[in-house]
Amino acid sequence: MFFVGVKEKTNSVGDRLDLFEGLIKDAHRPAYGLAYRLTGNASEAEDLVQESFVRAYRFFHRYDDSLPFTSWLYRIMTNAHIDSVRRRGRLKTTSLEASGSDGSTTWDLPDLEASPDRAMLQNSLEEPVQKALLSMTAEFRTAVLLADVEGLAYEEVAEIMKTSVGTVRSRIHRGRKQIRSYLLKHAPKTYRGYCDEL
Amino acid sequence: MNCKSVQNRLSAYLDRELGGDELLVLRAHLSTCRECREELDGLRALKSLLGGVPCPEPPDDLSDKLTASMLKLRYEEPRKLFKVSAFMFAGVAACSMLGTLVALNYNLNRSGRENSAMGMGNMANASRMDLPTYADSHVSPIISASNFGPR
Repeated sequence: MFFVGVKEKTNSVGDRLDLFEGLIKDAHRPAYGLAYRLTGNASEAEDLVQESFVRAYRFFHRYDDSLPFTSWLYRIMTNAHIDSVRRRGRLKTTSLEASGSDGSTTWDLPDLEASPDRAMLQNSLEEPVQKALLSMTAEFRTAVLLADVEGLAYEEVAEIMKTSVGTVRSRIHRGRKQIRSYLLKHAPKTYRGYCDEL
Repeated sequence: MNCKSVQNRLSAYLDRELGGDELLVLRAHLSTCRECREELDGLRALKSLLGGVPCPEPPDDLSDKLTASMLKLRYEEPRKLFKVSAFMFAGVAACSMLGTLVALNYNLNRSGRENSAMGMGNMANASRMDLPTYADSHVSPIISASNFGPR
């Protein structure tokens, strides 16, 4: 694999820079995808990707070759995201079950109608899915995204999130149930239609 | 295994993360329980939906911006190294000063102890002067000579 054994090639600062140019080319696309799903908007996603690569560059001496570079980058990214959410106190998100029946719940979301990223929302369920993801705690969201969007095994998710496989299993299951509840509540017709087509 | 414990394991089952007896028991339960099968179908649909969500495309200039950040870091590195060296220098200087102080203190204490030991010796000698003369044969010639003077 391209990323295996990369450390041996980085004896000098110049080598490391050359290596990172390659890593950026290969990994910035999936990294941005995950960052977008984690943060919910383009500007924060870009900042998160930037911060993750900067941290990866600075702490490259700590990189363990046995882990693929992308997994290490995702670990940095998810940690940075969880830290950032904690700093802003966003972990006090409203539980989906507890959200007001009068629709009084406000979501910390960009105005997708006005956003240029609106074009990216290709199907009608993409927006509710993103809202459901953002309504969860950062830990649940990260676990679900790594498993369902990135397609990683529980062990890999546990490795990235530095937690046990049991915790990952629980976070993924509870996270999925929260998303489903959200979709059944906020986009029932579309979601049921989607399920019926399967 | 009841429905609740089965349903708690359905995501792991769907992701092929179960094995051994757990898997066998769960399969046996699913073959007889319609409610749990429906729950499984619901989770399967959701997993499919999440996996099919298109990956947003990054801005065209993101790669260039990231490379520029790395270049910026490259030029920051020597300054950072200097900062570390300055800290290390300050640490070494502080350790040296501390070491000198400890050594001085040790020497002072040592000479103080020696002085007090000598004082004790004099006191002992002084008390020995009061001893009766029958002990003369047991004391060393030096003590006997210094304490009792020439005979």
